[in-house]
Amino acid sequence: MGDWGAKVSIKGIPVETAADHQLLFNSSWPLLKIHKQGSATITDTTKDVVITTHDLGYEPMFLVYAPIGANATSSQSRLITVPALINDTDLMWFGDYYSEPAGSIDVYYYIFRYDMTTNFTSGTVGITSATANVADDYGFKISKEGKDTSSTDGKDFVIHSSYRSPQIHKTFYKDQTSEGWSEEILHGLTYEPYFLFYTKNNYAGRATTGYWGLIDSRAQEQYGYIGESAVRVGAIPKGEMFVCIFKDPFSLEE
Amino acid sequence: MGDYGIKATLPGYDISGATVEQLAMTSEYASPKIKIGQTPPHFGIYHKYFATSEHYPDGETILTTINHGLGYKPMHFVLLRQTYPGVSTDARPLPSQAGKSFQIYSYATTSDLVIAVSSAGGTDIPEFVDWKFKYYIFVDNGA
Repeated sequence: MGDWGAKVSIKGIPVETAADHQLLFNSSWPLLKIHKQGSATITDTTKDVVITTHDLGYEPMFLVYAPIGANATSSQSRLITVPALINDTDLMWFGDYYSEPAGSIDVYYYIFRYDMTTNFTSGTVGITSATANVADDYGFKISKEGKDTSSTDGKDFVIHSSYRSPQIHKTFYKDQTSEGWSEEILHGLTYEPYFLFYTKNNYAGRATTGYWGLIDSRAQEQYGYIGESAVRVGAIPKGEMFVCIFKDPFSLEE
Repeated sequence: MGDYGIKATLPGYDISGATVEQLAMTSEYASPKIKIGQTPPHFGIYHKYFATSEHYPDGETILTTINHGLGYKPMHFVLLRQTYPGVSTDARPLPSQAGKSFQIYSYATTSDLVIAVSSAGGTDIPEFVDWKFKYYIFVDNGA
């Protein structure tokens, strides 16, 4: 197949010299696509409840925000890990993992069209930023169904060249068969991009067998770090793991 | 509404039969978005360098607030790289925990992205420690 494709840069950046992270999209790699989003109320945080269902037939990437964690109040939104876990049909709240005072809380969730058993590496890596030199107000935007393209609300758009959207640089899936495993995943970006790390069945002994969870840096039995060349992840329990690395807007050295 | 829209496949897939997962983008599914050109920026770096040691008392201490002006609690990410003298560590997403008694975390309110620490009983951070936080504030809802 020939080297065909389409790409659109963000506002002000010449597309022919734009670095990967200065693009709105490039058909050589996927955007993070939202399958379902919404809010839900957990009326009893000590119980196991379905936050929402999905019909994807696979275990998708997801995020959940809720006002829980150290010193949290209801006026806050935080990215959370457990007790929110997902399988191929349900996004669940597992009350056993909720260690704060029982009660009712509101959560907000995203389920993405990305199967966590997918391995993907983007074909090209353009890391040298182009200088903005396009003064005219050109651009590219697609509104959501039923929304006007003249809207000033960014939430009304699928994509918009005045906004950055997360571009997937690499995803890595593996079923780790040994306890105490570690994995180094090279990304080749030469800067430290944002990444998400999920594991499955790493909450053994509970009712969560078959569920995936997002891992943060507080976990004692799992860890995930990123450097300028690689992501380093590991866990004590064996099982399936998945990492998603995004093309990033900038370097920590800037 | 009619079946309008655009889509682009990933390399190697035929547009006529590609699944959503085989598409680079499609107008049928939105992506999270970060607004460019905001003041303060909706993506950037907050840098804290400890020229001298600092003591964090029991409870929460806010390191910084970044006003986002959205009027609702947005989706957000924060990545932290901690560097200790002579040692450069890798970066990690927040929340992060150093021992059982000290946490570094972020949250969004309707006005700000907040980066804070929580100490149980008080924590001293030694001199020359360097914290760099990369933050991303999306226009999409986080509550």
